[in-house]
Amino acid sequence: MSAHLVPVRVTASLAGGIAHAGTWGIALDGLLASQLREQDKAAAADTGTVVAGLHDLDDPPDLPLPLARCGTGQRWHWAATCAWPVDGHGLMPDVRWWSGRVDHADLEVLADGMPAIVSERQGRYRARWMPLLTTVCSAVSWYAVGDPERIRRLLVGLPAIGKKRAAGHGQVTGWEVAPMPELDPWNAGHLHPDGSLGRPCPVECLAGRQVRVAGAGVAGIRPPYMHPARAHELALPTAGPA
Amino acid sequence: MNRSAGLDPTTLQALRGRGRDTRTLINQIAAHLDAHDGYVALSGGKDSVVVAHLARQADPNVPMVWFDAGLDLPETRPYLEALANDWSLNLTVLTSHPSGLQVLASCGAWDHDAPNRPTPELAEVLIDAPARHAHHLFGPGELWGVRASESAGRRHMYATQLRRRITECPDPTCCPPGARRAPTPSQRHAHGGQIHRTDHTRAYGPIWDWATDRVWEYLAAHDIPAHPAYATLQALGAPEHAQRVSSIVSGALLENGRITWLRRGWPQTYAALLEQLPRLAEFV
Repeated sequence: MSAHLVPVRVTASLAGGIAHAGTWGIALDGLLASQLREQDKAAAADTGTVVAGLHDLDDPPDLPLPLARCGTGQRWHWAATCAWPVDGHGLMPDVRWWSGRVDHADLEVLADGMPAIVSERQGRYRARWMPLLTTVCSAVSWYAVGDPERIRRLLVGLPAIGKKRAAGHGQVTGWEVAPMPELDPWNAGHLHPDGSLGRPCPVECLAGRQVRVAGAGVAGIRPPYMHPARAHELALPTAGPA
Repeated sequence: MNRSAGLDPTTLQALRGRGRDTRTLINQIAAHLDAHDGYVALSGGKDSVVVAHLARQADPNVPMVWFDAGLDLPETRPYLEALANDWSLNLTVLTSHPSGLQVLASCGAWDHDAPNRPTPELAEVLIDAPARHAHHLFGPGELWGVRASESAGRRHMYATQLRRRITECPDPTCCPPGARRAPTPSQRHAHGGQIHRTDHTRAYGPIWDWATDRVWEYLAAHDIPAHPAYATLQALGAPEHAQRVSSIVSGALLENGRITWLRRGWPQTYAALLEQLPRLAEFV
């Protein structure tokens, strides 16, 4: 571990909770990677170039996050956990709903020719009425091993996290990055505050340790989490406080 | 926090359920089996389990069929195996070939990078072909747990079939010829839930007009364990219409969040499916 990479706790104060689809919370390394990627795209746009979409790449590059790494070979991961709600009512999400239907005027702009009827009841363009699972809490926190100042600089410009941000969900009212020198670095990179597994990680990471996990399965090991090249058989983190 | 031993809603459900008389229903099931033979379509969902329990009382050896299309939740097989063991069910498992998942993965519609390929209709693979096989084995009759209150389509199906049964009824005291009015309670009782298909198979839904509460009451009254996925969905806050346990991905209810619940409740299953069907991510 580099001298300037220390155990930290990152806290996002929230206006009204956070909506997310996954069983476990949003990954801190994912947030940092998306911020770096946005910076790269903005810089490229300034020079008139376009950054290739990640799904067009067989093996997307790993961005230089201000975090320590754990592991070697292809199965390494960043030393950072997934979001942990600091309060709220435990595992039970608040179920909200969103609806959506295709804008026919937009379709006419996009398509050369339109069929007489674009059904809203069946087929690819059917209207949606979807649940949005929201964790109601005043803040979420992460543990990590990283450079506090660079983490803070990346996050401070992030106004909202989670799903449906444009609809007002996941609004962040403040970021706090606090060094935690008393925290064991391995724990900071892997565990939730209750000692359960806090991020997807290879089972070899947990060798010789008694850590409560939510099972094993295929999941992304590091950003970009949804890319097929990042999918590995991993130990899975617990969802949050019971 | 210590919870007091207050009013238990399951006990209340059981008490309500025990007060209901199902002997007439069991007699109607027996009459259907006598007339058409056939089988009970058992998916593991609460409705089909109630029908299976009722049918066993009419004929302890009635054939039960689980159509395994390869698209069920991981708990379904162990649940049905346990039920078959506890109730000594005459259970037959009919596995789809190709499986529903193979059809979905090979058709190209679930992957933006895959070419579209001609593939069998999913309804043929999931429903029609296995049902034909089951009817070939056990006869033209079928008992199922389909209820009218589940959807507008099912309500329409039962209402249309009820009108036809009344029109065809040869008994003038039951259904006076020429009379066109809303079905009477006795006509609903005599003819409701009966589906006559063009291929001459005959389905009967004994609980066709039951409300969802009544299904839960029946399960509670008879100490029947429900499919464990119901508890998972209820813990996630899934509303009643989203509490479905059969055929994870059938094309139905995707626009109502079916995959959202799957991803939250069964992350490993979702991840495994996502490898084969990348466009599933568009429905969470």
